[in-house]
Amino acid sequence: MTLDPATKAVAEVATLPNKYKELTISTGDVDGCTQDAPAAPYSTTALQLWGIGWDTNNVYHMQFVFDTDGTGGTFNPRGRVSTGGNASGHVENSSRNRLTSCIAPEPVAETLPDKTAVTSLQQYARVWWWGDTDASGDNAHGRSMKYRMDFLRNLGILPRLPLRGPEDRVRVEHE
Amino acid sequence: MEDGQTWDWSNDYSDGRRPNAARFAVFKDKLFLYIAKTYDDNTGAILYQKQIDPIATEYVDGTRWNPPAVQIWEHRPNDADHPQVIRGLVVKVINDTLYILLQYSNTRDLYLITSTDGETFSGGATPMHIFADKDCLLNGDVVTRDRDGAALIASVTKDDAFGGDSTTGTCKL
Repeated sequence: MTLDPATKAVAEVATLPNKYKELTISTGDVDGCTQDAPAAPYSTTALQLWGIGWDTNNVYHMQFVFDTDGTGGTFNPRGRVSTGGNASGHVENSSRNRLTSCIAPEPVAETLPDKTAVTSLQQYARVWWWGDTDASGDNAHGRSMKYRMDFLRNLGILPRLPLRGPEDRVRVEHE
Repeated sequence: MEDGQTWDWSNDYSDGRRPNAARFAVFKDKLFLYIAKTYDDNTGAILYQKQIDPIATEYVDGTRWNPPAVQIWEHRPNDADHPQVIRGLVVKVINDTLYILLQYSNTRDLYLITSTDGETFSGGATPMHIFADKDCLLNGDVVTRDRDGAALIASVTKDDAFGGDSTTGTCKL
């Protein structure tokens, strides 16, 4: 479902091709999962989905790319990938709120060709769920995975535009 | 929180109003926690907001914390046979507005609450949509509409609006 806050229009977009106990989504591209690479490596129209499969404890990963109107789109033809992460057997088919995800940037120090030191941003997605065991073999501990996502390179101060505000102070390149 | 540190928020489930969903959001340079709770004796639902970061030291005691809760919304139909807790909850920020999407259990209706300052909230939950099937909000994020660059809230649902025992595992985007 997508909601346009400006018009309050709601669109029911797609039914997932498989069944799940639980699902979570985060916007952005996962490294190596871009459909259009290298022409459009960064896309805020791409959505990553992780789910705990129905009648299984497997954690799966999928990708969906919205169409231009945001009311439809396509799942990545690679389908869904088992991440190797196992959920606790206590996560039932009837459960919810046992899996979540979030994307956050980490600063990366870089030096531009003109020797200017800048800070760029590497995006990472984290997925957490109620896991089966921890490293010690203890049951039902939280587990997580970390995905490298888009890299937002700081290209420094714009050479020609006058500085009017924060939005004009740097150029950012998505990688 | 530092690595290895845990905070105990037991006060939030020992006050007789049990949490059934929680979401984080960063808004206006502050980290907030949104907690949906059952109303007394399953008569309805309450939604609270707590400011987690920055947090005043007066609300931290060792590994326990209990920042004050701001009540955003309450819904009390008083039908304990068909309790309407907040089953679906998505909280997202687009530009200068906080959007709270919520759905009560045993209903198909989707509601929206907004805020532009994190202190005052739109006058009530506004009906946004009625799901055709028994879909219920699970999680969401903000995506960009390619045509014009507008920000949209995308959500996934599971067909458990009328209880976990009735779900078939069908999920929708």
